[in-house]
Amino acid sequence: MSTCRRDKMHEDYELLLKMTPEEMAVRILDKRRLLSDQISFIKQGLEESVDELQENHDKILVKYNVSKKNVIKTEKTTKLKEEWDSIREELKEMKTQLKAAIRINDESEKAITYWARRVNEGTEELDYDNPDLLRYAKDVRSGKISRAGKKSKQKGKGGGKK
Amino acid sequence: MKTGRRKERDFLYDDLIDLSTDEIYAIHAEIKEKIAAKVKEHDKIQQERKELEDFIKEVRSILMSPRSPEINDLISRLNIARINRENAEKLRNELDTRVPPSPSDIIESLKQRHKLLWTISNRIQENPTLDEEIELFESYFEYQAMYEVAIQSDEQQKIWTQSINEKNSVMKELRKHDLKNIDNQKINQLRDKYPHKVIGWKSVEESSKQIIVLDNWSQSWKVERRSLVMEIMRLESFLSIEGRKEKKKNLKIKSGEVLEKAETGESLTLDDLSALISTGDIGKITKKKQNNTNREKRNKKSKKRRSKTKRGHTRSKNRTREEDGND
Repeated sequence: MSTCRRDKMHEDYELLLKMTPEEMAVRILDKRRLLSDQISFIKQGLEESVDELQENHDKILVKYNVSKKNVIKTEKTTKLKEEWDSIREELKEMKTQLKAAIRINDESEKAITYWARRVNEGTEELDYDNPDLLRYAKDVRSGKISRAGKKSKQKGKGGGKK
Repeated sequence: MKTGRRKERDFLYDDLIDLSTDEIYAIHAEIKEKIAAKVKEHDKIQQERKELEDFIKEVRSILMSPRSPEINDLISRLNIARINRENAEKLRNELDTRVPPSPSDIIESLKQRHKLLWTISNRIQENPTLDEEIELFESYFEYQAMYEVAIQSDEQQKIWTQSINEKNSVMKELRKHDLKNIDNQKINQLRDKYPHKVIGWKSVEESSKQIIVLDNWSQSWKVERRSLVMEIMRLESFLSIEGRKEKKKNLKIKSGEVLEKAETGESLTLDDLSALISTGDIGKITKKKQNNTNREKRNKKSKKRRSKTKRGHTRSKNRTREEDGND
């Protein structure tokens, strides 16, 4: 491995290991705000794309069904089938994206409120519904078994050298 | 068990179906004999192992006895290495139980979590929900803490490896000294006790290797014994199934005879009845009896006699006008 690459890797490790909860919370809040600003446009764009694709899909499907009824399968039928398959896949992907965009849009306000509170009030326990976000990390540091360790123990694989 | 007799089986007993009961009993006895012989051999090997162990213990105690400053130093180094190894192993195992993933795996997990929390994915569906975000946040910092523990575990692993290396180098030094400065009386005592062995590190090493060979034999015997016992159980279960079938067949024959006996009106013994009950033929007798009684009933003319309360008059079959109340 070249020295340059090793240095880059080391930097990455440092970044990952030295990241503080406060920094992370601020970053998530920024990300959520950015998403909130853009999501309505993204959603609109996706809705238009889905409508357009759905229209194309329905047209091709009609053509394909007509072509399929012919006893002799022509090259055209095959081409239509391929086109229909590809548009169907694309439509499926777009619908999934639209669903996700709707989900993000719906919870955007709630998420911003949550992370803003975390940024302002900290990552410790705020109330019954908002427990300490670092409780698992604190458990590990205080000598308790990690959640991964518990899972491994349940599977009967605990204690073995990785 | 690989006897060569058995091919790939489609079901549990397909290799036994064509064999006679005597042949199966012979195989059964053969396996039992084999097990008995092997058990004897195993006992012998265990005895041999114990002797080797005792020999190693005694020779080592003399070879490792403090006798010169140089050897004393080596022995104390060896003890330190042993203690370090044991402590490191214990601590490493404990840390591994708390945090099973390796540091590199933890870094990979941190990278994945960081990406999901830090960036906005172009594939909008890959962006986590609020609940997922919270869980990722919690696990991210848990993994950070886990990394510290995993690093400690790796450090213990290094200490463990160093201790092993130290032990090996000290042993190498100790071997060079062999019997030097050891009291002759002690050596002679051992020579008398083990006349066929050469006293020294070489014989200790040879004996250790022999113990490993014996342990391997015991291990393979353990596996073989399990399969032999399973085979015996298989043979016994097959014989028991066959025995039950045979018994049922005999009972069927007997029940035929008993049925005949019952029809002719002969008395039945308890055994006869038991045969009938076991085969389920007991119902046939009652059926036959029922058939007979039905036939008898049909043969008999039905004579309805009416009762009359007046004395001195015979009972007639038909009603009189008086009785009908038409007078």
